[in-house]
Amino acid sequence: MIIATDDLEITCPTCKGERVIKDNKCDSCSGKGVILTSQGQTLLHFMKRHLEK
Amino acid sequence: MSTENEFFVIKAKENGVNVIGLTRGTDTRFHHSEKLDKGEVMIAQFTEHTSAVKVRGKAVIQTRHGEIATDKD
Ligand SMILES: [Zn+2]
Repeated sequence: MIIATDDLEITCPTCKGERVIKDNKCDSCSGKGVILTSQGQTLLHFMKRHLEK
Repeated sequence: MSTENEFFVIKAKENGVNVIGLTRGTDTRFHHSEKLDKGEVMIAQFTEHTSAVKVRGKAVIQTRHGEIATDKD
């Protein structure tokens, strides 16, 4: 199974991934520029859980 | 009005349809996204965390109010 980047996160449609709008942090994505998918969240939580050990 | 058990269906008509959940509360943020490829179906509910949903790309959405296609006027 191959996981593509856009399976894990998508570019924020409000700031188009710029993280800021008119020098202010983008409210829609909290300045991250991306929004995670459930597959992204699953992988992130798995990695966090096992890296901490 | 009870929203319990209320759900809606999104069927992607092309690859890369995005379903984006917006937070409930005073500030509206995107807290979650989902990518659907052609033919994939997502069945979702409004919850205590999600009060709105944005759909980008060609898709058919069914709610209790009826059906809507994103690519038709
Ligand atoms: Zn943004």
